[in-house]
Amino acid sequence: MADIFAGFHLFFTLENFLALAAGMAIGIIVGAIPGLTATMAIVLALPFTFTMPAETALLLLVGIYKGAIFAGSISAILIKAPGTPASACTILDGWPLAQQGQTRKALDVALYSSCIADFISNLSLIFFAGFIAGFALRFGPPEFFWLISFSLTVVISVSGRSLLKGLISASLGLLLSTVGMDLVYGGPRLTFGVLELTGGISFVPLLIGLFALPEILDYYTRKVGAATKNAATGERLTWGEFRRCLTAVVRGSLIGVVIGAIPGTGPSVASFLSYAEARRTSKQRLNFGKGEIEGVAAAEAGNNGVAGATLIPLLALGVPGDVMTAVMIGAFLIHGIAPGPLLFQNHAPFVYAIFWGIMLTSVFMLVAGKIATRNFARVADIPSHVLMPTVLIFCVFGSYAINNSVFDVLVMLCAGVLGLVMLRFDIAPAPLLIGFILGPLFEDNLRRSILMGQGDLTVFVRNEITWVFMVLTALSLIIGIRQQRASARAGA
Amino acid sequence: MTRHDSGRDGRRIGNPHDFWLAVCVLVLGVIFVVWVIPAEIPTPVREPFAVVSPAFFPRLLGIAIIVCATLLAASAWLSRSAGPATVVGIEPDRHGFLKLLLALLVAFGYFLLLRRLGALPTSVLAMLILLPLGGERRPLLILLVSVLLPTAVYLLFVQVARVPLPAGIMPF
Repeated sequence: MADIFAGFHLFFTLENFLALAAGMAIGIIVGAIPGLTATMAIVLALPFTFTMPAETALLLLVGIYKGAIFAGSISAILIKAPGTPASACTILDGWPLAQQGQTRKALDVALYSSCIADFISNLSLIFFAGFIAGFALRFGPPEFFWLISFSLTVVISVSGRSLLKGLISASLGLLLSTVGMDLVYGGPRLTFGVLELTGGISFVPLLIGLFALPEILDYYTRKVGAATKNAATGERLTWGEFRRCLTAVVRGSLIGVVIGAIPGTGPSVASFLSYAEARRTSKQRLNFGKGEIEGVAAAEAGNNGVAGATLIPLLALGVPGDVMTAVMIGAFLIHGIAPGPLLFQNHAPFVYAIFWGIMLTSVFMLVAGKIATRNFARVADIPSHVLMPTVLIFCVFGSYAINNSVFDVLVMLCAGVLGLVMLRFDIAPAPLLIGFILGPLFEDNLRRSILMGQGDLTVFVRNEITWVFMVLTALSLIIGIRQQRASARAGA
Repeated sequence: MTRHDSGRDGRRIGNPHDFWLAVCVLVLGVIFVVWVIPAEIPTPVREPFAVVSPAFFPRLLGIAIIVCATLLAASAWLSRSAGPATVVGIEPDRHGFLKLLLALLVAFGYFLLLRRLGALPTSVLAMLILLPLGGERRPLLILLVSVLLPTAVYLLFVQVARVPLPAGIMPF
């Protein structure tokens, strides 16, 4: 108890409040701009934290991280270009809502879901840090293999009208993820002698190209003025509508917490998983993908539910859950603090100061999010013939900014052409994206499991965790296919 | 769009749009599995298990694509649907294809000129072409927007995000 009060004393300074507010503002601005990732913002902010106290530095970085994860939804809804990869799933229903002139409703539901999920995730960080991290620590390659297999069944839910086309799209995504250096033998795979491809296809340019560029190109095939509408108008979200989404929000938050606590998965997976679960159980499931607020709520709850929980393995075990927490380890080390189990013993007031600050991030997110959505919504007021070339500039600069590479711009353009072809042939791009995200994890854990078992396949059913995920995968497949067929029949 | 092609036996293809898409994917899948994988994925002479081979996963995916494309072709052949639904409320432009080609040309021109001309001049050039292509007819507005907007975005990246965008012919 004394440590909790000492932590509060350490936290309650003007510098810490300002750091949280500034971090949140920076995160929201960066997150809302496609191509500028949260990772990039944290990396750029890291040198500024050298002179700050450790807790202030950490709170600034946490603010940026959380702000960016939420703000990715703003551009996903307004211009169909997710500000961060975590918000790719929000496009599925956020963009159709914006097209129907219900931008404000979509932004409201995204903000409230994000705040609730963030709060639940923060609570989980505080109360379950040790327990969940201990559970995730038991995961070996076979357990990860089944977890990823379970996550891959999400493809069925986001395949659109044709499951076969969705499977082709997912296979293509998995295939694209194999480009680059082979993880086991170290040889090049499908690089065609191109040096830039040995590191694999860059994720952000692919994402921008697949989701933003087709929309720009397709715009020029339409009659002038036909698709231009004032998307910023629209009614606010009502309490009744939000109450309908609450189950999806809480479930999505919990999914985010579990996924976030498992290193190497990340908010994109949680977002799609939460969306798929909401779609599977919702009374409005036939409206998913056509502009359903529950879809936006589920996607945002999923990715924001990860934000607090991803700090669990970082603080409790010293294991970074994703790229952003890996960057945060740098901030710990700069200040001579080693994250891990001993952190709770040696620096308890520091840990509680972080916890106090993290609890406040949900409130900061609500306030900053309200201001941001009100102002960023003006982006949609810009006429399409001005907005589209501007988005193209963001796409090009954003793709270039990841590695300062013109080759990444080419990757984005090629992905854009692929996305346009997919748009024209009614092939959903979301399965491709999921395949691309999960592909390396899936293949790596499959191969490592085989090597671990020396070819003995019983390694895949070695304990209760593998059994649970195996049954979940089978159930998800059966239920997903049945619902897909029902949706196809209803749509026919 | 709704024209139905005839098969060799005289039976009409239910959904030619999806059928020809599936045929193209099928051909690409076969080319990938038969030629591309052996040429582009070097495999070790001795492999302990087939699954561990670098070529195993891509080959598995190639076969999955071939199977899915075959099933799609079959279902498109037997289908009664005429193809993907057109987007309601969006009227296609008569010169849409030409405008799309020009937009593509601008996008790929961006890639070619980014280093040579620099990020800002290339963006201004792209705006000067894309604004009239999108229907803007006021010359002064085209000129102003083409200069001001790319400059604002450029400064945001260079000054705020500290991204060293290619300067090209520009002195900064």
